[in-house]
Amino acid sequence: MKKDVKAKFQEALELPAELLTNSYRMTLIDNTNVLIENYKAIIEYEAYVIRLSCGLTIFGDNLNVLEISADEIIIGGKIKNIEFEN
Amino acid sequence: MFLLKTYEFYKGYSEIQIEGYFVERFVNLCSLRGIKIWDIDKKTEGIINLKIYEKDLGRVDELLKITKSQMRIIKKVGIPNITNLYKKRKLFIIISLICCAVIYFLSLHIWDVEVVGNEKIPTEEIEKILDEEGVQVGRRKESIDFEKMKSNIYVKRQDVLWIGVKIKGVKVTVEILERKNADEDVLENFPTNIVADRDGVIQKISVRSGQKCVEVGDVVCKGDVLVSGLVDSEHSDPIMVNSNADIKIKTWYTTKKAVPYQKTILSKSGLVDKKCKIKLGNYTINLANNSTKFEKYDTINSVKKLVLFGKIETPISLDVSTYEELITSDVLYTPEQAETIAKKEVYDLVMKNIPDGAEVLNYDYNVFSENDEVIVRITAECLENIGVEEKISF
Repeated sequence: MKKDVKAKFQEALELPAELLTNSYRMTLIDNTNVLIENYKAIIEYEAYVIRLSCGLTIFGDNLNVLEISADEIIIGGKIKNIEFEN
Repeated sequence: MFLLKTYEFYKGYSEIQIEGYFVERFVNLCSLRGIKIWDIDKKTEGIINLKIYEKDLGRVDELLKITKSQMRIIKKVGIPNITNLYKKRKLFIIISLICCAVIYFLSLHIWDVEVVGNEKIPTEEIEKILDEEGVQVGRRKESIDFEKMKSNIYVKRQDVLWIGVKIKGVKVTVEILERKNADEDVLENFPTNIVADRDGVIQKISVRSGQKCVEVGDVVCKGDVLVSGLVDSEHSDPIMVNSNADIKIKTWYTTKKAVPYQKTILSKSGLVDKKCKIKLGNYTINLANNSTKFEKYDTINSVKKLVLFGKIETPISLDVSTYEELITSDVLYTPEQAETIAKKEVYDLVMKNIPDGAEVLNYDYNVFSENDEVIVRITAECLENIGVEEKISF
């Protein structure tokens, strides 16, 4: 019921989808840089995989976190695969 | 990106290594608490390298306790770290600041005045006027009113047409353009005679204007009028013209030289002895024993003065005396050898006497032998241009 109200409100005001709902936004630059907004937290961090609690898993080589703040994370390295979790 | 890097450098950051089982948690906690970290790099299992601002370094301790990890500082970068490094060397900072201040203070003053472009007015005279107007070595640049100085000089000196002032650093270049007198490049507008300026025999004469006074073959002496500017006319009074002619004369130059058969020659042995001394005003500091061991020698003294900014002379100078050893040797010439030497020397002598532009037609040696020497006389026959213009005076 609550979700419906939020969705309707967003639809009525034509607001961006990630603003009110709890979704993330991903910006990908080639396969070398990825910016994820609203990532929540890092669950696993290795050089070949970064798992985020928002439901994204990024596979690649030499992955490193270029920048991190409370809402966004920039991951650099050679990205090979991005997996989505439902 | 460059701006960001500069900002990071300005704020000062550290590269640290975190070691523990929960490094992901550490990163999460940092981002949650608003501690900015960047360039996170996972080397091996349980070890990450990251960069953090200097001011946040203290807040990390708490997180380290929570995540049970250890921190090691790898590198400290940035201005705060550099200033920390120099905090202990206070005197160094103070002196370098004083140096900067002194250089700045000195750069506000004039340390060199150069005068260019003057041809007839002596530089000293202009420098004296500039001195009176306040353009002096040691004055502050801002305290001089160059416009006023210029107008004062224009009033004082009628022969100065234009003054340009260029200030480059601590050097002032004053450019002067002189007023040229109208009645100066005159001779062309006045009636003139052509007068001989040396003795000789006229070889060729061609007159473009004026009246010829001498003929080919005439012997002329210095001061004789060769071409007159006063031209007789059948119909009127004599008219006066500006004479113009090409005149060539033949001249002879003789020199003689005696060369004895026996001669003592001084020659350099090649041994050199150098002695230095420093002069401070009237005091002399000898850097080595000042006498030399040579019996006969040439002394070459050179003085190097310490000059600041290429202009200011200091009383400190370095005197270097170079002693070159000379050895004497007696040489006995045969008459032929003496003659060749004498001929060569006499030829060099006569060539020095012959003026530029003269054409040597031939030369001729006369050799006399006396009891212990040979005398050689040379006579060089030359063809040269002659004649100077001289104003006709009444």
